[in-house]
Amino acid sequence: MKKSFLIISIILFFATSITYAKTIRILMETVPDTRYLQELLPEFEKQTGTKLIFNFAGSQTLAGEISNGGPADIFISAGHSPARFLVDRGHIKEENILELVENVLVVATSDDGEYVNISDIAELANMHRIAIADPDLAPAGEYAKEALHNIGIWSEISRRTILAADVRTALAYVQTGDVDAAVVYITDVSIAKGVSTKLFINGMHHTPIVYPAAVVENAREPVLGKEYLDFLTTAYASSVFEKYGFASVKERIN
Amino acid sequence: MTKSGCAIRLGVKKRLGEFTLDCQLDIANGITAIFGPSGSGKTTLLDCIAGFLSPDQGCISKFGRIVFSSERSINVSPNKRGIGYVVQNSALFPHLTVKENINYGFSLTSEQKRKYSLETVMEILDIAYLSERDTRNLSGGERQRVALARSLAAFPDILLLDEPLASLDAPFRGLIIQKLKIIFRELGIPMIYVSHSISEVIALAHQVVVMSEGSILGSGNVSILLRDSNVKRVADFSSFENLLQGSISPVGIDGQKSIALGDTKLILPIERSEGEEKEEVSAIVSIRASDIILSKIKPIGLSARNVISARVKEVHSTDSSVLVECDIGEPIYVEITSLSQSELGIYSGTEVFLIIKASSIMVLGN
Amino acid sequence: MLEITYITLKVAIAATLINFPFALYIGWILGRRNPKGRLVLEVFISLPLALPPVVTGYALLIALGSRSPIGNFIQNVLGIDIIFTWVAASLAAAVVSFPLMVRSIIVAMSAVDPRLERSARSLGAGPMKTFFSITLPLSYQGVIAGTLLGFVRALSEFGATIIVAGNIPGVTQTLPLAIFARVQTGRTSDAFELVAVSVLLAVISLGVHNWLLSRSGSKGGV
Repeated sequence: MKKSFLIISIILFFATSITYAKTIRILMETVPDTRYLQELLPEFEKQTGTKLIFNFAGSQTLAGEISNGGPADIFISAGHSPARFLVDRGHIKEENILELVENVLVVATSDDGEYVNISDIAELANMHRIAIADPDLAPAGEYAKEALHNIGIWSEISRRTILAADVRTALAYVQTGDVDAAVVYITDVSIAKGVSTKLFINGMHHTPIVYPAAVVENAREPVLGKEYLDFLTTAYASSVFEKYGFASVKERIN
Repeated sequence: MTKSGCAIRLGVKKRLGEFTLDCQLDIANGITAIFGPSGSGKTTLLDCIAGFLSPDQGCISKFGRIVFSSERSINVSPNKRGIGYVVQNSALFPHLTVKENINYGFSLTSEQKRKYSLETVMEILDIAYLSERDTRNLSGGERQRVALARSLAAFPDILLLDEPLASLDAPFRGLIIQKLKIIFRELGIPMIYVSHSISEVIALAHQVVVMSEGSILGSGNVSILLRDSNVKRVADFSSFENLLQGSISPVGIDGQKSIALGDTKLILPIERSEGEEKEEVSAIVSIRASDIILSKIKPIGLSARNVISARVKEVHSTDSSVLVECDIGEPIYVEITSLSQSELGIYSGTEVFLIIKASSIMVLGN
Repeated sequence: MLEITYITLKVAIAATLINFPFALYIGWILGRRNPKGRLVLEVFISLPLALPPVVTGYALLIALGSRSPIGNFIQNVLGIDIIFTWVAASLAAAVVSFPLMVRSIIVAMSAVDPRLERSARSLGAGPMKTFFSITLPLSYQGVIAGTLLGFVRALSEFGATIIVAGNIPGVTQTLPLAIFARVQTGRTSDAFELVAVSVLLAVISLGVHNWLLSRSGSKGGV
């Protein structure tokens, strides 16, 4: 008697996780701060009755999953390489790629301490240590390194640059005082208390930080997926993105 | 430090779950048995004396020196109390040889405190031949002797023993009883030992403390076990055995083996496996009280080898029967029914004859 | 590769050495004695097992970073750097592997017959002497097993290390960190080489473990 009760409970437990509403699976590059996504989510679900399921992963994993046939309707990456990888293998079509928003690199420092205010990027060269995300591990690091290189201070500062596991960790080092500054996306700074943006890095020093998004070729819900991408370009969505610091791609082009 | 006066004086209270220990006690110099049914708190009391358990309140002193006082916040740690403890089943250190075991406490004692030598101890307990042995393949009797030697080699002022005879086979029990008597005689160390066997207590102890359910029912001379009605309640007299010490003569020309004990001589059974002993050997024999027959008239023509005359010292009644204490130079107890007692008219002072078959006498090792 | 292996061994050995006295002491306390607040202590030492190593890493960063009281003292008063050095890597590995070491030791010590210890005490041995002459010799196999287990875990520590020590080649890049970096950048054949070295180290450790145990038979209480 008890055994059958247990079996029924287990079946119910799993059965209830099968949703019957329409769902879109979104495979997305891990971002430290997902608040803008969370703000957009209910609005879209309310408008269309479609549920969104997010699956976050690092660049390699992302591309690998889709390449191996993992179920995804939409793909959003930070930076072009994963997108390129998938185009080359025919998993997404180049013409379907939509460049969503654009991110901005900033220098963030602690709100108390030696470098509370910086006026010039050259001050980085005098610092004891700075941190960026490891370029091998996160696109944010690639862009940071590229920018610092193009500005001309990379050779000076690289020896004293900590390549952090990710952006969150880079900012943590600023919080604990183990580095003096971190070069990260503006959208990430807000996750670190006591740390704020002190300097913007001009976009001309690096390739544009864009977020290519596309409907995957063998998506289960291609139509719904396209609906979502369209939603992301609406004025409402743009206003949410801007609130968090993103620049709209259209702005840059213009 | 004089050895007169109280070996241990204590008044303690200790609560352990449902059980409460509440005792007030003076233990004199000598061999003292703590007797009682299981669960009465005997081992708990021993643990308090040794320092492994701290009473909730009270005071314990050893020869006048306070080792525990809840009022004065004194609690001397077990290794500094000078109180040895032989646990049940000996607990020999398995990773050390016999000699290393015995040397353990010896090496921890400063030279001036070493009152006797290791050799003396090993001689008394007759274990010199075991020195280099492992502790794993010893017989029960050997283990117990090594454990005793080990404790003695630490020069305790008092020795505690928890059921020292319980785990031993019959032959070894007699041996250990002898050894304990010798230890007290030769080394003068007072002993407190826990036992639930009335026969052993009567055979070995000078004093007895009777416990039940955490408190003391009575204490004093061993005879209270038979006299005090409170005490008799907790004692189990069925299968009472007399444990008597005597010396066994070698087999004589008449082909008989006998043991001299008290004022008399008892004929012993001859075992086929026995070799020819040339000398007198000290031994303990066990005779069940129920195996002895009482007669008021001298019997003749009996097959029993032993017919001894004796005088009744006292008659004790227990709930199941009557124990007649007779004097043969030593006390010997005979179990009869109360009907027999009244029919035959057995009272203190009555002259009787004890009939004991040789085969009822069991020699407990030598 | 040699440098990475050297760093890995240095970090793991240091971590094990740091842990050992604490694991012995706490293993003794929890295995043989009944301390007050036992439950709290048990939960506390098991935390690194239950938490993701990354969390442990952040906790260490906060506790030892330049701004923390401890970190500040060590850095400014003692002049020693911790974060981003192999010392931090050792501490991370130590914290993460501690539960494994101590739990084995607790089990080994609680198997020692308490009456043996009591006998030693009544023979005049104080707690320390009893521990080193009785408890430890009778539980050393479990102690060794626990230590080696901790060591092997320290060899493979990643999540906490990358946070407090960073992934600095030649300084703090241990085998696990190096493997991860190579995998992430698609240098899979390089990664495989390092994986082979990792496996070799683990096999050697376990081999030593077995050899040590086979040298002496078991000695439980009699």
